[in-house]
This record gives sequence, C-alpha cells and structure tokens, in this order.
Amino acid sequence: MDERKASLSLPVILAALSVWVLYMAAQLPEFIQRGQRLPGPRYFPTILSVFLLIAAGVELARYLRYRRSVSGEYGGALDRVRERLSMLRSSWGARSVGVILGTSVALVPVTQLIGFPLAGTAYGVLLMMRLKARWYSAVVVSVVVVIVITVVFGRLFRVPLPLGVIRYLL
Amino acid sequence: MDTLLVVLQPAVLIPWILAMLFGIFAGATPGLTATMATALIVPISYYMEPVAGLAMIIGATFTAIFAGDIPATYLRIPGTPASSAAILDGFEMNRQGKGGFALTLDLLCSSIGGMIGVAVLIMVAPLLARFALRFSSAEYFWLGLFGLSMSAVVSRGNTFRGIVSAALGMLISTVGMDVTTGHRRFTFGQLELLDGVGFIPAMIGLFGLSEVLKLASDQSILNQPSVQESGKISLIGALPTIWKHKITVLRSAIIGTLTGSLPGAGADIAAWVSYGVAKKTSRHPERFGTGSAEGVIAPTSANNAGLAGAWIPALVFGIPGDAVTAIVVGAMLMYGLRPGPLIFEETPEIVNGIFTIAVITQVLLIFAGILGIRAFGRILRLPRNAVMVIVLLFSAVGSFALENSFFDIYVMIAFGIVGFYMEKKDIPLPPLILGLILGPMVERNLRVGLVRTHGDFLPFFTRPISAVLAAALFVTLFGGPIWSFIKARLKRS
Amino acid sequence: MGKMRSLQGAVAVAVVVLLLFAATSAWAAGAEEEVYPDRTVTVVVPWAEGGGTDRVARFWADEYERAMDNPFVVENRTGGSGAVGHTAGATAQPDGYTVTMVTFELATFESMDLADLRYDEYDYLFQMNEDAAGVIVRDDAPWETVEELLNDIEANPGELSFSGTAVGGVWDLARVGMLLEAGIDPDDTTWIPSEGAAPAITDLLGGHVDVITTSLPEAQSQLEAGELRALAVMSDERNPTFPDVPTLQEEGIDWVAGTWRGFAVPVGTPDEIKQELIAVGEEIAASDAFAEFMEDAGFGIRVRTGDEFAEFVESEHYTWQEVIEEVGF
Repeated sequence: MDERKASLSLPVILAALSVWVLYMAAQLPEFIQRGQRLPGPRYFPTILSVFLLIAAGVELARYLRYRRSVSGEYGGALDRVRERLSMLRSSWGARSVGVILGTSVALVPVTQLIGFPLAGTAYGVLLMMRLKARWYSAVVVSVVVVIVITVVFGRLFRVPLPLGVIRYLL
Repeated sequence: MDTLLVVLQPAVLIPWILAMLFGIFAGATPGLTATMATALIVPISYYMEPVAGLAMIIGATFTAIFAGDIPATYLRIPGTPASSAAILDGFEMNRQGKGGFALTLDLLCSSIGGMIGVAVLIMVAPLLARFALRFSSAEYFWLGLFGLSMSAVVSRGNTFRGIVSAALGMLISTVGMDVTTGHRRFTFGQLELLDGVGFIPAMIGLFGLSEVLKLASDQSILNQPSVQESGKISLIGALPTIWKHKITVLRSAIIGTLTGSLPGAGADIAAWVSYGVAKKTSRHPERFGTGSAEGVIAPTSANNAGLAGAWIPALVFGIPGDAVTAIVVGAMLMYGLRPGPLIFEETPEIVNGIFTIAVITQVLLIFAGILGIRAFGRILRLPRNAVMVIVLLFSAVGSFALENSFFDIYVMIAFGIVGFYMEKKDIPLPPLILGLILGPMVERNLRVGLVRTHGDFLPFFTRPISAVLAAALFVTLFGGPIWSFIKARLKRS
Repeated sequence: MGKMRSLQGAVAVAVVVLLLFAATSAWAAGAEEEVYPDRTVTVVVPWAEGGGTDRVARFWADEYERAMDNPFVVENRTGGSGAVGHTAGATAQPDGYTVTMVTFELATFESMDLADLRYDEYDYLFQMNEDAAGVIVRDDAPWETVEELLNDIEANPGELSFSGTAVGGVWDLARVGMLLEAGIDPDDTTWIPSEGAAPAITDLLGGHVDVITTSLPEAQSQLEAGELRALAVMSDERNPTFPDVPTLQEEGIDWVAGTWRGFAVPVGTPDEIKQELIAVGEEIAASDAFAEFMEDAGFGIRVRTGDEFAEFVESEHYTWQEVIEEVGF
C-alpha cells in the first residue's frame, strides 16, 4: 500500500464529521404518523454517519498497518506533521493554492462594494501575476474576460451582476 | 410535407439556428443551463408563431445538453448536470491529446441518441407515458438505488473509498428542508440552505476549482498552452468507432429515453446509469475511466435521448418531467395550446411540427456542435495560467448566476477545497456527485413510500415493476461474483 | 526577480488606488436623486424562471416598462420555499426601486417558523391573481360530491390519501382547513408529500393517491379530457372556466383557500411612489391584454388594491396561523 492510500487526516476528518452529524441528527424530531413511527428526518443522516464512522475505523486501521510497515524509516507522527507543515509553508505551489482560495473568498465582498467589472478585473490580474504571467498579458486577458462575462451574463442572460461604479461611468 | 415547409420557412429557421448557437453557449458555460436558456427564449417567442417558439426551445435545449460535454471534456467542468458523466472518459481522452476526437464522438452520438429518443417519442409516446404512470415511490426508490450502485462502477478499483465518497454526497444532499416532514436539517439558520446545497456550485467547485488548485501547485506548466494537440475534428474519422459500438449507442439511447420519460428521473441519471450498464456489459470494462471510447459514447447517447424522453409526459399529459419541459408547458399555454391528452386530436399539426423540428434539430446539432468545439478549442491554446484565471472567473460568476446568490460562490469555494483534498487522498470524486443527485431521490421515495404503505416494507418487493428493478439491482451487485462461483463449482465437478 | 517584485508592487498599488476611486465615486453618485423613476426598477421574484409566478411578473414588468418608459428588470431570488426572495424584497432600500412579487407563502412564514419575516414588513400595492384550491379525483372514483367523499373518510379513517405539495405547503393546508371545518380529524387522511402539483397529478392518474387539492387550472388538461373530475373548489364564487364545479360553501362547508400573487414594496417607501405604482398598475389590471394573458395561462384574476390587499394578507396570516397551530407543523 502506498503512502497516498494510508492517511491519518482522512479517518480523523471522517470520524469528526460523523460524530458531529450524529449529534445534530439526534436533535431532529421523530416522525410519527397516526401513532406509528416512520423513518423521519434523522433517519438518513444517521445511517450515513454511522457508515462513515465505520469507514473512519477502517481507514485508521489501514493507516496503522501502513505505519507499522514503514516504522523505523520515519520518526514519530508529530515529527512528520511538523515536517509536512514546514514543507507546505515553503512550497510555492501550496502558497499559490492559498492565494487562489483567499482572493476567491475576498472576491465576494469586494464585488458587493465596487461591482463586478472592477473587482473581477483586479482578481484576474492579481491571480495571473501570481501564476507567473507577464503583467500586460494579465491585464489584457482579465479585461477581455470580464467584459465578455459582463456582456454575456449581464446583458444576454440578464443575470443581475452588481455593476457598481461602472454603471455611472457608462 | 406541409409541416416540413412550415418549419423550414425563414421566419422559423433563422430564430431556430440562432437559438441553437445560444444553446451552445449556455451549455458550454458552467452555471448557465438549458433551463435558463429556455426561460430567456420564451418571452421573445411570444411575438412569433408557436412553431418558431417551439423550434427555438427544442433547438436550444438539445444543443445545450451536448455543449455541456465540451468543458467537461476539455477542462473537467461539466457545463450542465447531465454532462457530469463526460468527465470520466472524455477528460481522460483529452489528457491523452485526443480531446477533439472524444468530442467528435460525443457530438455524433448526441445526435444519434437524440434521433433515437425522438423516434421513440414519435412512435410510442402515449404507450410509454401510460407505463410511466405505474412508477411510484417504490419504483423510484429502486431506480435511485440502482443509480447509486454505479458509484462502485466509476471508482476505478477503489471501491471502498468510492462508497465513502457516495455516502458523503448523500449526506450533503440531506441539507435543507426535508420534503417529507417540512423540518429543516443542518441549515444553521441560513435561508440559502433551505433548498439544500446548490448542485451547480458544488459541481463547479468540486471539479473546476479543485482542478485549478491542482494545476496551480506546478509552476513548470503555467506558461504553456493547456492543450498541445487536441486531436483533429473529423466526422468521418469517428464513424468506424461509433459503428463498432453501435449496440452501446442504441442501448444507451433507449435507457436514456425510458429514464427521461419518467417524471421523477432525468437526463443526468440516464447518463450515469447507461455508463454503468455499458461498463458492466463491455468486453473491455478495464478500459473504462482511462479514456475508453465506449465510456464517452454511452452517457452522451443517453442524455440527449433522455431530453427527448422528458417530452413524453409533457406532451401526453401536460405534466412536465423536468425544469425545461415545465417552462415549455407554460409557454405552450401562452401560445394557446394545451398539452395533454387532447393535443394529439385538437392540434395534430403542432404535434407533427414538434416531431419534425426535433428530428431536424439533431442534424443541425452537428453543425452547431462543430462550431462550439472549434470555438472552445481556441481558448485552450492560451497559456495555462490564462485558462486557469478564466476558469476561476467563470466559476465564480456561474455559481452566482443560477440563483443570483453570493452565498453560492462560497459553496463553490468550499467544494473546491473538498475536491482538492479528496483527490490528494485518492478518493474518487464522481461518486460524490452521484450521491448528491441520487441521495434525495432515494431518501424521499423510501420515506414517502413508507408513508403510503403505513410503514410496510413488503410492497417495495411485491409491486411488479419494483420487483423487477430490485432483481436488476441484485444481479448488478452480486451477479458477477455468484456467476464466477457457480462456474468454478461446475468446473471442479 | 527583484524587478518583477517591484512591478507587482506597483500594479498592486495601482489597483488599490483604482478601487478607492471607484468606491468614492459610487458613494457620490448614490447621493443624487431625481424624479421617480429615473433608473432601473428591480422586480424581485421569489420563484424560479419559467414558473407561474415568474411568468406573471415578467408580463407586469414589460407592461410597467412600457407605461412608465423606464426599465423594469425581473430578478429571480429563489430558494427556501420563497423565503429568500421575500426576505430580500422586504429588506431592500425603501426607495421604490425594488418591487417584490409577493405570493401566498408570505402569509405563512412566521407561523411555519420558516423565515424571520412578518407579513407587515411590506407595504402592499395591489393583488392581481388568486387561484383557489380544488378537490380533484379520478374520473372512475366512487364519489360524486364532496359530501360523499367526506362521509367515506369518516367511515374509513386512514384509508384515503391526499397529495398536492410538500407537507405544510399550500394545498396541504387547504386540505387540513377543509377537514377541520367539516369536523373531521385531518389525521384520518394521509398526506403524501410531493414536489409540486405536477407529480401529484401523475400520482393521481397512476392511482397512487386518491384525491389531490391543487388548483383547477393546474389540472385543466386532465379535467377537460375527462380523466380527472373536480368535486368542488375552495373559493367564494365558482370558477368561470369550470362553471359546473360547486364551491365548498355551496356544499355547506364554510372554507376558502388558495394561492394569490401581488406586488409589494418595503415598509417606508414614499407615498407618492406607491400611489404612482398603484395608479399605473390599476390601468394595466383593467386592460384587455392582462385579461387575455391570464386566461391563456390559466390563472384567475382577482384585484385588491392598497389597504384592501393589506387587510386581506393580514386575514390570511391569521387564518393560516390557526390551521398551522391546529396540526402543529
């Protein structure tokens, strides 16, 4: 079994998720019709999270078996986590992923503030430059794409994109 | 003959072709759907002859459902829910530099599948519609479960994690108001979550954003074009492959039409089921998921046929089978037509017109489709970092567009992270989409079915169609192992 | 690399300056106001494109646009059984540039605990549509009148199933109200939840349920073709399209229920603007084009203006609150 298949984070996440869902589902009411108990709102979430809890156990067993087979090659689990984290911090790719996610989240409030045309252009330019494009091609591509989107979504498909300031400039 | 003359007059033909180009655009853009295209066409069509309006709607929807496969194949972002199965083998072929070939196959099979679906519509619509009436909760429950069992088929040898992924998808699908009791589940007071997690934003995030995140971590490829060689687009070149798999095309189209004609199912389910059936019956099941031609052909033949199938209940009963036909039924009322049992007698010329338009649309589709593939292919010649940013911008706006909701952009981002993590951990993504689509179908129909029977499980097995579907599911899941067990026994004795 | 960095920095600064400029100019532009309407009016529709409410709203948006020579744009804010759009419409700026097409559900959000929204957060302009619930059965069903049906339910409690919407939806509430008024425990019938009128009609045709309580126009095709039969309509007068179908009141049950649609603006909208919108709306509602549109689409016309509409919504709120509390959703 290779390393990708055995992972510690997977069983931890699955277990946490299913315990949380089980807790939430327990608060949902029962479904009783004419004195008879029928599968109610909690029925499916409960079944699914029990299954995921079992799956978490299986994944944990996989991971432990894998750890035993490679023990001696690595240090403790904590060391490995630390090592992985420092690798992530220094890696250009991991930081790019962070930049993309961060700017995408920021896109929403900025769009609401100044409208899509400007926010979208700024977003496009920043990301393309982060992804090693030259600044002029970043500007050209972003401007063109934003114009296309504004025209197609806003005009043709009548999606009410917030135009913001552009509305007054037109 | 008269009908042909009517539909080919310029006042019909020109808006029709324009609508098809519109459909290509709507289908190929994630977040713009065939439903939206139809809703936009309808108000325009009030100023025209009913036939022109119907031609525009039929033209736009059939092209949109094909065009959804274009970004699915080139970028792994399904343009419409019905094309989510095209990310399996279509995208793999594209990775191997055969994207153009995959889409040519796709286009021709869409057209053929649509043609078969329309033929079924013309010949046995009333019969099929009566049959579909016999489907109730129990039948839909088994059908949904059958679809879900396909998650094992599309997990590529990683069955356990495939089922985990499907379970996650189903769990996510339970968010929102429970139709059976009206209770809210896991909504945390968010109004946007009352109707559940948006399927389109989830799909865009899971496949589109996660793919961009994956590519972003490799700086060496950023300035290169996305696709060096997308393969030639030669219609003639694709014909031998299609001929070789003619049975797959026919079978998928029939599965598609039948599924589409059920008011409780649609083209998306049809595509996945026919993919699973094609793999189960193929001589080379191991090639599925690695860029197999059969894997491209099966879902695309089914989804266009499914669209034709959806017209069956709409025409025969005036009861829409999906969102598009719901709008169509509304539009027909506005034209002064009343779809339903009487339309075949009262306005046969309209029914004939619809049939003629649907057939010709399948031919026109090929031309519109080639145009779409070419245009889209051009974008891919841009450097990869440009394509990535284009994808990101369209993903954000596309997620917003469906419900005009900023919340859905956050949903898209969250699913992007989930998809990115799952791929890192080697958990297949397609089963999650299956769980999202089919979770509600399975849950609702099981629970509503039990309300009907006052808690009795037995009718789920004794109703005739139910029994057949349950048996089919059993054979799909356990047929293989049991058969090989029997064979081994026979050999030994 | 260093040069690249500084260039990036320069662009970042430029973008920030641009954004600041943009933000201030937006603020400045928002300050000036002129004669109403001088810019696009948004018509919020809490339901999806292509549905009945959307079609009515788009007809009105077009008519308003023509009458007032100003763009009226429909914006579909779907989700949450209408709660998302209704909330968005009520919390918009009360400047007359957001008009909401409100529907029946608005009167039930509070009682159903669906949204933090009361009916009195709107100022009502006018209502233009009402569709009463019906009592519809298959043509081969044994009951000829509502009375026979109700007697059957009393004689065989738990045998018959009804359908039409999700649990707690309009047609479910209509059924509950009818049974309560007739002195029958609603629990003596089973409600089969469906995702709307269309699947319920399919279920009825297929023999999977016994009665549906959708509006008559929704089942018009089947009623005309003789596959389905309407026993009654829950309205105070007969439906002109179906003159043979008696009202529940004629049958001795004093119960009226149905969906309705109308226009409303957020509380606090200036009176002049409201009066202007109502005046133009009254003209449109009286036009032949509107009558023709509603007949083609199969919607019933019912016009209530200003205070009359507001009082109606209030009475709806209390009627439904009673029914909802009785069954305890």
